[in-house]
Amino acid sequence: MNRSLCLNLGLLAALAALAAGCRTWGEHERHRANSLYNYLYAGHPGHVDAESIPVLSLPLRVGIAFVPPASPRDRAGQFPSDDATLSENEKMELMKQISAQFKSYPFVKSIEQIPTAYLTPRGGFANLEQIRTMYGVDVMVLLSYDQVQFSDQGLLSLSYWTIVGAYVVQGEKNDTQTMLDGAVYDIASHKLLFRAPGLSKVKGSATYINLSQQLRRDSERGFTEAATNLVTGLKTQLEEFQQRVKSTPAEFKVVKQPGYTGAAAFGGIETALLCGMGACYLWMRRNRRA
Amino acid sequence: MAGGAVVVALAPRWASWLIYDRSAILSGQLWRMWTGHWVHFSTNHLVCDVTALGLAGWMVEARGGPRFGWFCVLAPWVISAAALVFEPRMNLCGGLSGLATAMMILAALCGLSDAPPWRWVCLAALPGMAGKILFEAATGHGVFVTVNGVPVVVSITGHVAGAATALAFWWFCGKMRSLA
Repeated sequence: MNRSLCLNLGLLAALAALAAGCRTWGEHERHRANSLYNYLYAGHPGHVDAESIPVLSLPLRVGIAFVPPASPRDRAGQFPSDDATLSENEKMELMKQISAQFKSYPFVKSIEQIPTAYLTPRGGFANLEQIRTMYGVDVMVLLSYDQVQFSDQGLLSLSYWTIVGAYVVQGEKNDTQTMLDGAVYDIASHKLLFRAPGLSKVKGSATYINLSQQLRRDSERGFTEAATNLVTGLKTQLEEFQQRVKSTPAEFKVVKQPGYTGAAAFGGIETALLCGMGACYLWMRRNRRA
Repeated sequence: MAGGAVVVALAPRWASWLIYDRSAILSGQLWRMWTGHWVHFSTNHLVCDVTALGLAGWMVEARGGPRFGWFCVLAPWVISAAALVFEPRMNLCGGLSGLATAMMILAALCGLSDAPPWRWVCLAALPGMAGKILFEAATGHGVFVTVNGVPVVVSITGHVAGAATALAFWWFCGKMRSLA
């Protein structure tokens, strides 16, 4: 009896050790990223663009797209699995979230969300010129990301020995760090107008069994939060860019597109100065009468 | 003119019939060249322009110039004609500031023949207005302007045309006086 009990316990312990070992030997870190630099300059490592003045035709027609991964598409025309971080659907949702914040600006005529399939890996500015012709956009917002997910086992993971614990006890500690970068380029002049990052950090936990599912959820949440922060960053950078355009007219040329609305408007300062002039005139007329 | 702007602001449905609309003007709706100045895009826009026009117009009218009425009738046409010629891509426009600029320049020019210190005030106002117009033209100040959600670009041509109209009118009146 004692011998069979010991044998059974030993087998159980070996099974638990094997299960824990499998997890121990599995990956603790997942890293996914795409690179704006690889997309724009991969074929020309030493290339330096000539100095040029961007011509901004107001109101602007803007395009927004995720930078494609560096690897070429397979025979079926699909991107390789290293781009399985974000499905095309998720990318379009994120682009919609970002676009919605900028459509209300009066100097933005339209924002086109361009599927990644329309961008060629390492296509560079030649590819952007094709997009410009296809969609009629002047300015392009290129989104790139970098996401790292760490997964570690906490003290509660000891419960995996019970087998049941692997199903119910959240012994996995997950940490998802995401950076979403938005770079705004004037396509014609190849000039970077401004850029902003969006960062997020998602902490979570999971059971051993639903670890992959929880990591996927954390990844999605990480991108959504990073997109929200990116919008805030882009708005701040956009305001600074507007000031730069006004204060350094030699660096940027602003052209009004046909059909714009003009306003013959007196500013507050001019009105105040005129009020001062009027008060001075009134005072002098009264003095003359006196 | 100021009263007309206030009336139009109280009845906004008239605005679409009165606003400067380049394509409508070129197809024969010439009244828009005059009435377009009455249309404003926001309360702030209206208040600033009406205040400026009212003050500048009062300063000129108080002097009792004999041809001031003609100036009020002709200046809006001249300003709108300048916009038609020099801003061919501007489709819509509204606001009194072109006319207000004309009135202010005219008041300052008329004040040059007055005794100091009013003459000095006018002498200071003239280069001040010229500098402001040049600054707008050089820097494109106001290209990212919103007026109550309406995307607009400040029409510098209106200010320049107003100033030129005032200068031409003042010179003409001076000539008429000297001939008389």
